[in-house]
Amino acid sequence: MNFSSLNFIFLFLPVFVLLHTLTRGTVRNFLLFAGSAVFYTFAVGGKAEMLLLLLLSVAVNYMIGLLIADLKERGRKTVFGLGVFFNVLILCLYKYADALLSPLEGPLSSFLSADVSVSSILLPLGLSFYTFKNISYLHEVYRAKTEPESSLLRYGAYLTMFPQISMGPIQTYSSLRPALIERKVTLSAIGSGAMEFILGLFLKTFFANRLGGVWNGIETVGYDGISTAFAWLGIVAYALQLYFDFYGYSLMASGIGEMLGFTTPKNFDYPYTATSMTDFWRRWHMTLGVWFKENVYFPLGGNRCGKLRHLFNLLAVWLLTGIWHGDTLSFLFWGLFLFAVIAIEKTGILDRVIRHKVFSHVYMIPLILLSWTLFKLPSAADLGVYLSRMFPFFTETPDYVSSQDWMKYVSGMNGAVLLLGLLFCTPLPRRLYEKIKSKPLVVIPLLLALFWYSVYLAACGANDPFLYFTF
Amino acid sequence: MNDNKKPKRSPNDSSVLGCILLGALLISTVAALIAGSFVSQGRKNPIENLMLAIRDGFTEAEEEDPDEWEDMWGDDDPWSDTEGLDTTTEPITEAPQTVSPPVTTEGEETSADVTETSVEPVATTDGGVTDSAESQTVTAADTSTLPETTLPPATEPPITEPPVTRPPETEPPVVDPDRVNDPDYFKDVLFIGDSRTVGLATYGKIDGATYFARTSMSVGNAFADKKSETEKSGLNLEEFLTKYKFGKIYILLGINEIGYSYNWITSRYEKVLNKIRELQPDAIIVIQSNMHVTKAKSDSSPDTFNNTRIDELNRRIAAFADNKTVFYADLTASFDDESGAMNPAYTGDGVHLRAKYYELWRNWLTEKGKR
Repeated sequence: MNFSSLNFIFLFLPVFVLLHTLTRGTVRNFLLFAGSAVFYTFAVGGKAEMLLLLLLSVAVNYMIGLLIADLKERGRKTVFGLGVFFNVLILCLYKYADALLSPLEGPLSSFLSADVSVSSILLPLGLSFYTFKNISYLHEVYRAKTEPESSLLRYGAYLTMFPQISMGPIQTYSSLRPALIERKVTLSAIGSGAMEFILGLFLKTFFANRLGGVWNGIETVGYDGISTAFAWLGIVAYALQLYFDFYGYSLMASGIGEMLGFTTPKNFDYPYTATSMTDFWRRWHMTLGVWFKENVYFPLGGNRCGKLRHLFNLLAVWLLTGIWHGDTLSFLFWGLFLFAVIAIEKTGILDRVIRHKVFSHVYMIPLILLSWTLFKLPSAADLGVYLSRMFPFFTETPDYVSSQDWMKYVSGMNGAVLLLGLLFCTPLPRRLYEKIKSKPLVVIPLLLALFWYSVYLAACGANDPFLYFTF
Repeated sequence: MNDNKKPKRSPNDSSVLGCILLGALLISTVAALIAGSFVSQGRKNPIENLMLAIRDGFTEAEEEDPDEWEDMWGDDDPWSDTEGLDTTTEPITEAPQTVSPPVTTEGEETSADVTETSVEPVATTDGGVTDSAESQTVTAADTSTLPETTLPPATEPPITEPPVTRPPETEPPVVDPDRVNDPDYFKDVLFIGDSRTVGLATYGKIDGATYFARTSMSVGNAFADKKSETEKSGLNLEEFLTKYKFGKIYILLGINEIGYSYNWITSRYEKVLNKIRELQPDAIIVIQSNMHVTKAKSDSSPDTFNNTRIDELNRRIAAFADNKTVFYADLTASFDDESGAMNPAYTGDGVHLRAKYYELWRNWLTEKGKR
């Protein structure tokens, strides 16, 4: 079950919102916790061990939080350190289970005389996100930025809440605490939450799902078989897909949050209009950026220390950002790449470019695309081939490459989706929407049309091999 | 970092608006649910009914499909004669039968296959069908040897040079001297097919050939009013075949519709062949076998895209060959690994060849595929 599945849209969400609206206080939080557990169970396809891990994480962090608040200086620090270690350990264990255990696979199999496979160890859904929520909570309690949560139920509701469990946003406990204790649910909030949800659903189903076809096409043909135009088109389409998928999801999460009486932090602020890499990461997955700032960068001293130390702090943030996004070495390099660009920007030598209205984008857009290329292709061999197709100056183009191979992805409907996608990267559509938002005769039919069209697209994409896999 | 507040919203605006929107959503949903269950006649739960109804445009059954799946030839249910066999109740564990079918499933397979045979209209032309009570493994093995034994020695095609009018838009590509090619042979060849043939047109670099191919083409929709992706005339297949004449027509269809019953596919395959024959009376027709998918793909799709089904379909369409004007050509083996599935090195998605390996297809056509 995810936000764009019909079972969620027509069954889970309306029933849950109705029950949630009708209840109060403890019952309401119980409903949120239990409903989130149900959602999570469906979302992970009934894998009970993943739900158990989540519940364990709730219980342990709840207790550590109380303990930190109770203890004095030394013990406090130790318990906080242990708490962070516990969360990081679980994340790393799951993340690197394959790499750690695969050398043991053979000996273990022969020892137990059974087939032992570690590839069945999957990263539990949302673990990266709720680990960071836990750590930020412990850190907030440690810094006495907030009271610890005294109710296990409320902490469970905070950590597992279904709008945020699978892909964030990584919301701090302190910003949710008042609403966790008491929240008002009004019909108008439900309505305006529904609006955000519909917009998010549309971005996801109309743009993200369709644009995914371009990259599929490239993988089908093989990286060595694409023309230079196709290589660039592919990475542009991937950049758009990634954005609309995550942005759409974040809007839906924010909309659901609003329906339940929560205020959700903004996660995207038109990142592709950024004028520098520093700016881009202030606009892309904003709650993650804030998390790193609060929990890594500032504790290390931020920029209020020596130049070298400042550089080290930046390096730490970006290496960790890289590691957080994936489990292969390539993500480390991706993080390093981001660090290098941002460090160069910090020196100020690019200021004239960054402040220029046009050149800043000329500088930024190819650089973002390049960074997504590193992000998308974890194998060095694939990356090398792909880059050689993007920049065909040093290698010979194989004779099976067709210079026309990208045409069908920009003709007709595909081209329209691509162009609209580019337009929707700018604030213009949203500004237009805000203008017509108070005109019911315009906005209601528009939203209804978007909703049913999105549902149509979701229905076409779901469960039907004959529509989904056409050869 | 930027402030994390949501854009400001004036409460007066959204309170009324939100209520109207919720009301509208509620009413339209209830209406859609009711309409959905009405259209689907209560086959599934309300949400699945709704999904089916939305997808099919709230029309009953399969009459009109919003996507490219309309069937030009008839309206019988594509799954009707295989209920409980091909697409629905076959348990996952039974599926990958390329090795040797477990004894327990053999009885079921056999009886199912006999049922299938009894409704199979073209089965009588193929002696092998009566033997299909044997296991699928044997059938698969038969298929691979079939064309070698039944095809005539590759001499001259039994036709005189037909009047060939080439579509003006397809300019001949530059000839690469290193390449295996035979422009004289391919200059009056037309390839008809789905995305695999689109790939051949794009990456095969066969000198002189013409292609009428589009993604998701099937024997059900080959003659639908749709243009091809691989030539620029803008005509549909019927108009194209009326306007231009070809000496040899190569067909590769079947993978898109492989989830439908064999009976459904072969009856439409026959209609496609008859229609081509009607429009191009002098051309020879070459039915190309459907290539296998990789073992991983085959194992992951026990009901649909698996090599057992592909082999069986190939065996059945091979029966259309009369070896006079209609030939069957088995290209499957050229792409197989030792396990009899498509070599994973050749493909990105388990189904389509990578750009580089369309060369194998071209070489096969040039060296073994001529008729």
